[in-house]
Amino acid sequence: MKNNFSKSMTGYFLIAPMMAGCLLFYVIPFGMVIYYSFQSGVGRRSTFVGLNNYFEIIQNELFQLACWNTLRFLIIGLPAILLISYGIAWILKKQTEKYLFLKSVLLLPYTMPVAGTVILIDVFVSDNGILNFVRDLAGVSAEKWMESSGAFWIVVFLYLWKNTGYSVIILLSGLLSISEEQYHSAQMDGASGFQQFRYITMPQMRQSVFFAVLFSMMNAFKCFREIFLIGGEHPNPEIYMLQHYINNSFENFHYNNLAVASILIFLIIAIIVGSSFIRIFGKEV
Amino acid sequence: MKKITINIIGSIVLLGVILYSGCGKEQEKIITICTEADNVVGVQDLAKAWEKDHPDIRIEVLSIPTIGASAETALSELRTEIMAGEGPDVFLLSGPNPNVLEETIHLFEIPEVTMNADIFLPLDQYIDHAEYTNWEMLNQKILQAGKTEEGQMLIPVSYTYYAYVFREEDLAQLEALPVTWEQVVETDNPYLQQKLWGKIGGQFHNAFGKVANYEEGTFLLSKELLLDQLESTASFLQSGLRKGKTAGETEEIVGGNVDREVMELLMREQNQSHHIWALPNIEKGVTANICLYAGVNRNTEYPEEAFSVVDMLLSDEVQSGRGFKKGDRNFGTLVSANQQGFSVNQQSFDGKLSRLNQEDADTLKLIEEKISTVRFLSEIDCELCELFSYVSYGPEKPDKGEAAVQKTLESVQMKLSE
Repeated sequence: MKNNFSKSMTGYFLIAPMMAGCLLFYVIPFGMVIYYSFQSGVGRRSTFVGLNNYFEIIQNELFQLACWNTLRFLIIGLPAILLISYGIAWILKKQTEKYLFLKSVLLLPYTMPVAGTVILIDVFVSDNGILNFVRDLAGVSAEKWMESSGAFWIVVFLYLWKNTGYSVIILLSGLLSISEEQYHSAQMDGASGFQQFRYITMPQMRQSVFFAVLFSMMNAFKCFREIFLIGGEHPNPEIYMLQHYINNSFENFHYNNLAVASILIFLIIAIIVGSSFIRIFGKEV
Repeated sequence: MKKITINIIGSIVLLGVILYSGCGKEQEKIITICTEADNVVGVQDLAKAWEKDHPDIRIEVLSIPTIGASAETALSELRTEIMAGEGPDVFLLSGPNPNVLEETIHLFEIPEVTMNADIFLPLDQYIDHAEYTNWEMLNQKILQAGKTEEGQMLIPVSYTYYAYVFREEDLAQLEALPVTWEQVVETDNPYLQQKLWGKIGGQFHNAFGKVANYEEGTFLLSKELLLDQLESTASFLQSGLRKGKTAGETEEIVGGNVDREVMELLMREQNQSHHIWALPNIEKGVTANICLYAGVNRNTEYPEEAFSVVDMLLSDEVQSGRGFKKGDRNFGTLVSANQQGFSVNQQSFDGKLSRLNQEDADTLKLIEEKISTVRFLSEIDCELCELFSYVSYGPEKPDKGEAAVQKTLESVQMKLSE
């Protein structure tokens, strides 16, 4: 009994520095953000306003636009990246002798610096870019792509191009962990390809899919860096995301709006991750 | 186990001793004034004068850059400090200059928006007990620009408007001068066109009066209005260049933002008759821009002292350049020398007017009355000037004006709504 207590104390002692860091840099600031979201102003002269900031921000047209664009981006981007990644991972699995090389190739866009990605996008969609050059050859007038409604799709494409490789790696590792013997047995029992996928692959891919969803979502929010560098602080309304709103609220000293928006983002992420978790691990839990 | 427990308790006691050792010592009172590099010399001089009256408090001047990556970093640090409920006690800042090509970065991009963000301390109760300045003697029309429903949030220190000063003998060729912006851009007077065509673009932002409702976060200029004004101003630019060449020489002695130098010029030419003409806006009035403003941080530990610095800054002694006599020298004399535009201190302004000839003084007073809108220079002014510049000088494209106006409207609306 005494030995067990001593062991657990040592464990706590060892993780104490990490927990202290987490408490200091994540938990306390998040607590402060929650506190700010119910205040008007910050610091010693702030006043409690209850849910006023929440009501105000929900009615703000720009916040609504930012929410809609972010949600639209996630609704289109997440399933698209999962489907494409799953497909590529499935093909790669069959090319076992080549996948090491192909994995590196697929990861290349992910490792590309943000500035490089932005330049690449510029090469394609700027006024004198390749797309306009092609239009010019076809006798069609040039288009300001990043100021048109097509900007949203350019950003979705950029997200898919940059992050698919990362999801492929996660899903591929999941696929490779499934023993081939199970498929052979199923084939001997007369199971069709779909049945193999439904009863062997899917149940064993839950964890990989969950992590692919999680990281794809994190990468979707990270994609803001590229959008910011392409479109600036106030881009085309089509690509005005929640991070623009948060970033600009910081620059405009609307700290309470920033706090509310951050909490709402947290809730959105928590709901998506939580529901994915329940859906994927529900039966195991 | 015993050893671990002793170690933990020992560490906690040691930490406590270290932390407690800092207590008990009396903290030095420091007021921090945040200002741009151009104002530092004047503010340091003011600080010396103020410290003589408050020997137990020290003033620190925090100079913030406005250009380049260092400015981004410095402003980001400041914003984080303010977010944490800290930051400088006093802000003494100027807005961007829409006519300068190099982009400058400012702490408060649109001061009127920040006035509604609970960053500044309402100063009304402090104004009632002011020590250095007779606040009733300040220009109330200009002061009004810094007010919100909560009270006086920002204090305009100096302001300017765009004007021309002609000698009377040259004026004969100028005929009747326009009283609205529309008349300006439609004028056939070649002399006026000659004077204005090169400068009209830089004043496009002053063509308008009130441009936004900052409480509601809405931009008040419609697409049609902007397009109309852009078109007529751009056409003036063309005809002005063409017709202006045919006009004879008409020498203006001033053509630009009014400031101390204009006053000095008029003082030197006291014996001459002048015609002073301020560029009108579309509302038949004159748009004035605030060049320098002050505000007190809502979270300052020393609100009375922080206000007192602003109070001294606006005093007649500082604004007139006489300064405060402390011992054998005068302090606070350099502020007005570095200040752009006219002082909001009416006493100091009237003092300068009294040294002009009666006619010039009366005209300047009349222009003061014509001021219909007072605006803090902000990102919106820059956006309007950039819009004009793009439409007038940018690459030729079909529907260029409409697309550019739409983009500007969206961008400004976003800035106001956030």
